[in-house]
Amino acid sequence: MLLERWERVESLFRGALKRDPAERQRWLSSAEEDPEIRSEVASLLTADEEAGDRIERLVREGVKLVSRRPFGLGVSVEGYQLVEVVGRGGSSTVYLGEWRRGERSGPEQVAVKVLRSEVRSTLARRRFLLEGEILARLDHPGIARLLSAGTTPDERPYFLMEYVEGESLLVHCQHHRPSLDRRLRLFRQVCEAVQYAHRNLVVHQDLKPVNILVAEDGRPKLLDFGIARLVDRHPRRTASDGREELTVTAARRLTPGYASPEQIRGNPLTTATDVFSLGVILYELLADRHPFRQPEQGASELEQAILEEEPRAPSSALRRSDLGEHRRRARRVRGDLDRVVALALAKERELRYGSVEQLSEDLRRFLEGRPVAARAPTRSYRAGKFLSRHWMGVAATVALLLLLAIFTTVSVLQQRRTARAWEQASEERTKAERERSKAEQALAFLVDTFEVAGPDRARGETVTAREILDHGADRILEELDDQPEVQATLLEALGRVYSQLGLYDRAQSLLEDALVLQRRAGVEGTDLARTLSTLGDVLQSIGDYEAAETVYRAALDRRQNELGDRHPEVAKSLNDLGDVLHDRGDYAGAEPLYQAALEMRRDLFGERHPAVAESLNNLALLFHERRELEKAEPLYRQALELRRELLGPDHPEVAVSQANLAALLHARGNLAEAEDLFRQAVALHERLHGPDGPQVVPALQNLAMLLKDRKALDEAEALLVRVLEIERRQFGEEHPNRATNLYHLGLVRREAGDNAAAADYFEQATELYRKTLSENHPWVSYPLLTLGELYLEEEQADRAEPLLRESVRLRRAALGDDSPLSALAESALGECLAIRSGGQISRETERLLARSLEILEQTYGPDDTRTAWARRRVERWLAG
Amino acid sequence: MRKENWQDEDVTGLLSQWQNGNGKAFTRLMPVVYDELRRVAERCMSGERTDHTLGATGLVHETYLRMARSEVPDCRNRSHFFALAGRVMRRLLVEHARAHLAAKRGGGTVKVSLDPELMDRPPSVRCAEDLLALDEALDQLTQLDPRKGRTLELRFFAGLTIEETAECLQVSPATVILDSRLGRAWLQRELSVAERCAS
Repeated sequence: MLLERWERVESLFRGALKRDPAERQRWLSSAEEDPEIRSEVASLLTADEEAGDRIERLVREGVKLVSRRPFGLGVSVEGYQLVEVVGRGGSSTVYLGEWRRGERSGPEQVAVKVLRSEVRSTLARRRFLLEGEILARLDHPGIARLLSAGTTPDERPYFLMEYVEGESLLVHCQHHRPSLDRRLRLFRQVCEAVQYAHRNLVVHQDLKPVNILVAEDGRPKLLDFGIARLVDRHPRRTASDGREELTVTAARRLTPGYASPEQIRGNPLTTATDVFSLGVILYELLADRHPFRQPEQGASELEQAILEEEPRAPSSALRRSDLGEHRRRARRVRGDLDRVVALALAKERELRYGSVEQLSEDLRRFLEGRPVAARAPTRSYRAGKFLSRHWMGVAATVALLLLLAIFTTVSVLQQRRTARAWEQASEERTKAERERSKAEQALAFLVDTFEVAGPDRARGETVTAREILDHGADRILEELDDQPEVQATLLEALGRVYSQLGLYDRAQSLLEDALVLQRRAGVEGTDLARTLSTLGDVLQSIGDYEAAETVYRAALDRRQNELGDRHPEVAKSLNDLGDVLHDRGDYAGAEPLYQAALEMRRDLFGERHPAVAESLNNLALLFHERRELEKAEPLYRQALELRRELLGPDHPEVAVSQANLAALLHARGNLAEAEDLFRQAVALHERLHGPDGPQVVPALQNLAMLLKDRKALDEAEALLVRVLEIERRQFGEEHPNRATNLYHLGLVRREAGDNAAAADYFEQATELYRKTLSENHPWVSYPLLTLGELYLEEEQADRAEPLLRESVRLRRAALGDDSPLSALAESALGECLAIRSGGQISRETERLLARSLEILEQTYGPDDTRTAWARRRVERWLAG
Repeated sequence: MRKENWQDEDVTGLLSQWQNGNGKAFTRLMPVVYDELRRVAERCMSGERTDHTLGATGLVHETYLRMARSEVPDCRNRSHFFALAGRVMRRLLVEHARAHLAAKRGGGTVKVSLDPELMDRPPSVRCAEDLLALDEALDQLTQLDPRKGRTLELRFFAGLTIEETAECLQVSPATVILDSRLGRAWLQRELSVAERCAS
């Protein structure tokens, strides 16, 4: 604008301001002819009204931006400078803060707990805020107090808490060696604090010795209400004795060792869950060891022990100790204190102390020399209660009786065989054979009984069945020592039964015992192979693929040696071996094995046989995972048809085939048929195994992914959460399947637009795959690639690059340079590099983008969404 | 304790040289003031509660006090210092905004326009972008009408009062009032237009 015009505008502006706002327009029209100038002034007048203090505010914000410093050591919050990191939790960090300002009104030291900046999940954030809320309402000398809360400059929540300096409970006991009475008094103080929390409707849920600090003055303080929950105000349950209970929905999983059985199972929790945790702590205070923990034990084994094993009484553990101090303590602990502990550790919560207060009261009575109220829950009471409730127990009793009958027969049989010479009358041999086949039939019956009952339905109620099995196993081990071959056979059979029940550790140890026995007895060929094979199944189930492979190979060798090249057992071994290589990601190794098994089975049985269907299915699955979809579909359809015809429509294998075919159809875009098949498969699995049978998991996962594609996100997520729980119960948290579940949940969250939660899931999945499979397993690339793409979307190309590079590396190594899956990763990497170089496209980038497009066009066709994405990238970065 | 930079420079002397038309003095003063402003900002921010109450004005005053030491400078020096500080403050904010945006966008200046509906820029990014827009708009205004540009710089970035601004620019307070008002309106309009274009 020319200067004169501007001056004109200015003078008009000035003039207009002198007038009333209502008058201005009119005045303006009369004062100026030029319409352009008029509109210029008018717009400035409008702007004048709107302006407000917008600019001042903007400058203030800018100042804040200048002075932003990462929150951490050295920074001050509310006058306290952060001088040291004192703890790191799952998603938060705790600092020691010291007052730095001079005259103070509060404590000299505080603990500052902040949510870590890498934690982006809304769930973690909500949990953190909830902890703050909970702490705010608790005011008790036995609980670390909340002082204030706020948000850091980089928008993370923090809170200031009372800083407690001291030793954790058990460490304190190690150092100061307090007397039994003192330990009990300490414990009662802890109980008091917990009871206070309960009265304020807070269940701690993570009570463990490290969360209890003993301060200088000897008072214990509770810390870390990180996963504590506020309890429902409206009681939902009435316990059997008419008391109302406050319930809470299950929290996330916590440290093993102190979790109550209902926490492990994911059932709704009450204040009784804290009673159990306190019981474990009391045990440790009394016996100086953990009731359930064993050396070399994994987390899921520990959980299983909590669910199923009765710990030795504390006095008994003390008596076995080397320390004189322990043995002396045993005398006082024996009896009443044993009973108190047992009552606190009762697996059924109705059998525990009704409240922490009751537990504390009983201890008070003990300290005063008065009798305690605890009553031992006797074995007969529990057994009686269970047997009447669960039919499964009855069946197992029958099985045990049969088992006894069997080995009586077998031992008689054995005696006869060894007593006579080889060349005995054939009728005796025939009779022996008949007896033997009877025994085998009975064993087969046993296995079938448990197979039909279903491992996971049994698991919830395995107390009696398991006891009976264990009892039977013990008897076999004791009484058949002089007949190692028979012993081994029975052990193998029992191992299979335990495996069917999902009790893999027990199965593994029995089978390993069986192997040892067989080797010692000089058993070689197919009997040994069968034990090896069963052991391989167990190892594969628990995810130890390396060991499974070794064992399967050994089984295959023996079978080939003894049975030649045309035998169903050899075919099974080929299939097993292929299966485990498949699980390890060695697709190239697995394929020929599957093919060999298939051919052998066709040769042996003709086309129409369930074993042929199994081989078809496995081969198809392999092709499917390598994305050779056209090859997989006919095989799947064949397998499904065979199974329907040969096994009937309600057979579990039919459900497996339905789900597999459906997954394939999903990948090929045939969504309607896929959804239909999945739902059929799920329904069938539920009919057969109950809603929580692990067999339903693959179908549920696939259905969830399909629903995600069809945008039914809520249902998809609900299904995945269900899957997560089922598998958690079965495999624990250190299993590749869990990683897969987390990945799927991330995909759904991403589809819902919740990138922060999605990224969290992908990270967890990546880490878990790496941990449970290997750093180089191709599956790692799935969450890794998706996470990288997410970062690209969030404009964090620098974070994305290493992830994308790694994905490319993994896929090329496992699937080859020409695989479309590699191409997908390369396309994303290409884009990332292009962004980072600011548009300066290097050779490498160009090659990545162009070649990947080529491969995708060839594989998926030019109209597929994935090809379109790759093309868009090429157009953006390489054109012109 | 590290020797502070500005003690090496005779700030008062430089200021008066600048007043007397010595452009070079300005160039020497700029980085010193810049540094000091930043330091003061950091110190103030980290010690305070998270809701910052110290704005640009407070910072500039704080800086002035530090730099002026025990001398009680005369009025003219003081306002000239503030004029300088205003300019420096503006540059400081703008450079930080640019750095912030660069950091958020992963180093490249190319904006990846993926599905824009998905992108919700965090508040700090919006602030940085707005600051850059303000800076540009202010430049344009200064080209059109230098006095208004300088007035706004003094009022917003140095936080001078009307009287102080009038003194610094050697005009009447009434002029300052009108200049501020028209200038602010002009900026407001430019920024709104820019906003509409960007969305």
